[in-house]
Amino acid sequence: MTTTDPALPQGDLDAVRTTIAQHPFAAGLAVDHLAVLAEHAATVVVAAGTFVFRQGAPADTLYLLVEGDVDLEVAGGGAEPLVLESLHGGDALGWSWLFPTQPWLFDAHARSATRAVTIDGDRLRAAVHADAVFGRDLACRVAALVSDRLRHARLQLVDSWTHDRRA
Amino acid sequence: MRSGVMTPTALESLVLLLRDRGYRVVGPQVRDGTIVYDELASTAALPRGWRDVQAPGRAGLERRDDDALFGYAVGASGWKRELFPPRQRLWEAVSDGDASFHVVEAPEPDQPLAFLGVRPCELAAIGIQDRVFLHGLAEDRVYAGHRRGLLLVAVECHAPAATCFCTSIGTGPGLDVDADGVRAAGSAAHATTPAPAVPDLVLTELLDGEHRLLVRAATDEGDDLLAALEHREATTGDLAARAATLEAAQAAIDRHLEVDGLHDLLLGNLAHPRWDDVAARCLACTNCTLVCPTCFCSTTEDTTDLTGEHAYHERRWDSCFTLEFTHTGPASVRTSTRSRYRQWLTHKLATWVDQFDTTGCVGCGRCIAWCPVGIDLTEEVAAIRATDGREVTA
Amino acid sequence: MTVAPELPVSDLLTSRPYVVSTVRQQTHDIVTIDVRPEGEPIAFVPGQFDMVYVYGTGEAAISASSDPATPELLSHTIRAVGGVTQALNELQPGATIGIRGPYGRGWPLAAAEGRDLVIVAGGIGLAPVRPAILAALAQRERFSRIALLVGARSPRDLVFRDDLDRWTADRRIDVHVTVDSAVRGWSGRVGVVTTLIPRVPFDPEHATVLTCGPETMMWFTGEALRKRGVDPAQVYVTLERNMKCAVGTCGHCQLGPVFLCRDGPVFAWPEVADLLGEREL
Repeated sequence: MTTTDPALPQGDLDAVRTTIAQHPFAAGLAVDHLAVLAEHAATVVVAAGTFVFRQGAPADTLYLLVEGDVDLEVAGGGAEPLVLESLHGGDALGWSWLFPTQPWLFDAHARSATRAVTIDGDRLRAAVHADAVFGRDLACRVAALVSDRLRHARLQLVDSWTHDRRA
Repeated sequence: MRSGVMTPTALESLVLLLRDRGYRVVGPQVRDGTIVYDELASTAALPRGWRDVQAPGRAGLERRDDDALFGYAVGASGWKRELFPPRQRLWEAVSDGDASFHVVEAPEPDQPLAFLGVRPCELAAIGIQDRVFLHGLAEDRVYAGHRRGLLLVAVECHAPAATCFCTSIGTGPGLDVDADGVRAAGSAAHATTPAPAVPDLVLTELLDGEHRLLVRAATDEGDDLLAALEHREATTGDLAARAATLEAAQAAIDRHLEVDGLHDLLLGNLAHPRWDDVAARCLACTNCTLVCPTCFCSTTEDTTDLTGEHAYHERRWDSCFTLEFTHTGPASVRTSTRSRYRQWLTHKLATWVDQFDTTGCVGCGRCIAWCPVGIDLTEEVAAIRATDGREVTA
Repeated sequence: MTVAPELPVSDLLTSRPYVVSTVRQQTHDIVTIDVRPEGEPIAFVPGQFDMVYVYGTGEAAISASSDPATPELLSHTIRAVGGVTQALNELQPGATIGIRGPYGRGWPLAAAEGRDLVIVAGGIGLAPVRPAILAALAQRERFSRIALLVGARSPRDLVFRDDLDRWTADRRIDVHVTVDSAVRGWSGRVGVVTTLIPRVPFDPEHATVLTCGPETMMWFTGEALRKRGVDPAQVYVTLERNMKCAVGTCGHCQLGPVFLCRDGPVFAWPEVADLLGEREL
């Protein structure tokens, strides 16, 4: 269950901008670019035990997690979903919005009450294409995020526990 | 120190004298179509009139046209078998019942060894293994047990084989004995040349005219032995004959391993395509490591007797050419023959220097002759050198 | 680098009897065996290993995993991967095993003095660093921050869970545990151990890092630490090969010029990075 964040009054652009500015994803972002993000942002609270988003739903949001724990899960056919990675306050979640009409490939399940800033993916994508400087900065940030996540996935894939000599 | 000239028959007196003094005398003899080193009943067992014919992938014997006792280059397997036996018990665990036991060390050898007929390259090999087993983290009990009290009768080489290249390494074919000690003669020493084990007596077999042995003592014990043996003063003619013999031996060695910059050359070419080339030929049969007089790798084996009351912890020779050698946890580190040949050669000629301050190769050529497909390390090194893949830095 | 205590030669090569006091199952294939010497206890330095002998079966090289302050109760944590380690996994209290050692260079705790001490352990790799953690906690004032980052394949593959619980409650050490994947019910982090490195509080410019785990994990860890700004020379790893003699004469544990048993098993990352990068070396 996702609700607006009572701690942050909606429409208070300054408060949203401050929250975004303090998030590692936006570290060092130019002030005018910060304003673009804030323009399309909202703050939400996701209740513990509910989903931030579901597999198959349109991937149209960038989440900047402020507080809480979110599990990226695959349900597969198994009785219990497998948690592939947990994300926490300070992590960014979701990059599929950069490419139009993609579905989420995982469930994002809030393990604990989670506060986040959501940024409208469609508008963000439009802003990325409208302003080359902003677009390049944001694309690089997303690329860094993808690179980190890919690095983790590869280490997971290596399954060094059984592949290596010591495990 | 004494020196002199003795007859070949006086050698029998030496063997008897050594036996009288409690030594187990080991020397060269013909067996299975080759020369081996084993307990020597008498000098009659020496390979009189035989020469070894060695070439890449070939080792055999043929008749000489003289009665030379030491008219061959080197035996098939070196003296390593005696000091570092192929299979050695390290200790034994004796059951005390109730799942408890106590450990009993393997007994020390009860008889000192005397080697008769040790080549200069082989003294260097013993010198190398001394560094590994005696001067490492802990003195190796088995090796030290055999090495302590070892008496060495060296014989300068007058019949090098086609596989020999001691002159490249600086380990032979001769030996100089003077107040400073003993070192190889007939070749130049390099920074990585191993120091030879110190022999007690050095013989030179002279075949010009009368068959005789020039003998020089290099230790007090050797001097003492020589004092008890019939010999005459060496003449300038004898000394000239030795010089000529050595010169001829040196000239007969035409195989060459360029040692200049060898360490960096090999370690800078770990990705060289030549390793694939040699791997396509190498059978990973381990022969080269077994005949190598310096290869020291071993593994352990544990067994129990039928009653289960005695458990034996034994060590046996191992080889870096086996897949099992690097088996750690679920897998082996070196699965390809390429990586195993590379390990052997780079260890022998390069990382050995990092580990023990000398090269691990003495130039005896055994690995060339006993390789079933005739892989010649001097050729492999030359091929890498000819197409050095290192980036040249200014 | 911490140097092994001087031992007479006989002690380096002779297996001494130890009696198994307890066997603790850590995971489905990992046990910790606590033993007491029949004779005098022998001191060890965190990071050193022993050759552990099972009667009639053979020896295996295993790092000590117990508190170096109490050598009279020595522990080894062992995964069943071969004949000897399987036999060790099946031991019962009261059995006698043989131990010779300790061998090798340990963790550079002295070099970490006055600095942040960061320990990154993967799977059973927590065992060889456990003595270092205990030694560091016993002299807590010698270090600035102490952080422990632990990764495992899944929650059921975590070892020393009692310690992890205890240390998590201990304000002197900052513990972070993560697993590669989990099913619901696991309340900790999910992600490879390298995900912890950017976010754990420590000063990269004044940190000494001890790493133990699979080589791939240590490789990724080294890279994540470099990215964080840690000098690679301040990152230490412990390596494993199939040691037979433990004194540098059997040849098995060579990695290029290095004998792991004699020159290691603990190395500064720059000492071995190139060697580990070379395949099948």
